[in-house]
Amino acid sequence: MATTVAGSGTTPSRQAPARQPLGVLGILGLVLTGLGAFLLVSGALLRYFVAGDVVKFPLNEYQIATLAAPDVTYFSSAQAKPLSGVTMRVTRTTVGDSAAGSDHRAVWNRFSSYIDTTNGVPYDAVTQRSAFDRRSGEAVNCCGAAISSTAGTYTGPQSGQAFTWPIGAGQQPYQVFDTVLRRPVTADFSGTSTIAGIPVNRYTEVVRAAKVGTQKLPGQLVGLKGQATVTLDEFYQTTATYWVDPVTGTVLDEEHNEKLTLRSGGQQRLILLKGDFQVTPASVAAIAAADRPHRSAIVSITTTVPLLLGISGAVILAAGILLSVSRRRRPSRSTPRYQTVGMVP
Amino acid sequence: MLARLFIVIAIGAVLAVGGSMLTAIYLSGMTSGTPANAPLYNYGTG
Repeated sequence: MATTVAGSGTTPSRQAPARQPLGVLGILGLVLTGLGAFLLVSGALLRYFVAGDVVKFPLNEYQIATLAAPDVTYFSSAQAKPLSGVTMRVTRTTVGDSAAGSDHRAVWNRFSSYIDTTNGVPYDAVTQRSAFDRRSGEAVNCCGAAISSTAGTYTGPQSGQAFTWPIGAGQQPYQVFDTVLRRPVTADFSGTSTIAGIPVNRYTEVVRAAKVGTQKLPGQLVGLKGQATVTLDEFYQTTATYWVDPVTGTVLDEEHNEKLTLRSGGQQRLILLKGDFQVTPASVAAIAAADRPHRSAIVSITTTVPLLLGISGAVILAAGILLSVSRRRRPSRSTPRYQTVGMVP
Repeated sequence: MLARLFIVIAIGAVLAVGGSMLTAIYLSGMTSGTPANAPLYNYGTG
């Protein structure tokens, strides 16, 4: 009696080893490997693809902010005289024009109504329509961008930050579009602080007296009684401070110390407006409350979730591969290398 | 076994790409649309 190996006839020959059944550990190793690869790739894509496509300024913005200024001096056209010591309130409404926006560009309209609350009369109303990049916040020229006020309508080019700072704003100077000068002005980084528990960057924009136009008015209004009408230069100066959430680029608080004057021959003849406008605490709280979910979402989608997915994916992938490889290197002893297929008498 | 590993890694990666694209489309939709009851010309006199 003799035992032969598998093959034809009685000639011993070696056959390729049969595919091993996977078993529970084998299936578990493959499942973990697939799951780990899924999580790892998902984490990387979330950080570098989804975040870049999703983290941007909304098309459907809607925000109302109130700025208040005590002790304002301004020239009342209705009363044809300067008024001082009045309180002025600015109601600023920002509404996104979703239909005019696109994946990369948002268009927002902002209407600012100036009311002399001491005398209960309107002072001015300014409308700003700007299109801007949905990640950098920088103005782009399209979509009927314009600035309108009692001083006239401007439809020329806009550049610099339109309504917001960039998403992920740095501690560096930025060019901010000034609606009075109608050109960008440098806002320097001037420190950090915290507003409603949110760490913010502070930026300061200083505009020294700059001529923005001319105005024709009766000479007697400005002490030039010998002249029926005079044409005076209009000068604008401001120190504006912005407190910006660097993660979302949202301006949480701002202060504008403005002065508009009429001058002739280098001499100030009339104050058109002088006041220190600051966002009210209630509006700051409301803006911060609206900003907080956006901030959390951006941090989650760019940092927290990709990191968790990446780490867990790497660990699970490594575990799956180790399980599969170690099982392959230690074949089961119950599986014979050679198989008895027949008996030769 | 190595072939099986590569196959499951590829399947995991492909599913991740598909899932990420769907996530991006879903989240993009949340930042667009028209806000309801959003008048622009608010004079603040009310």
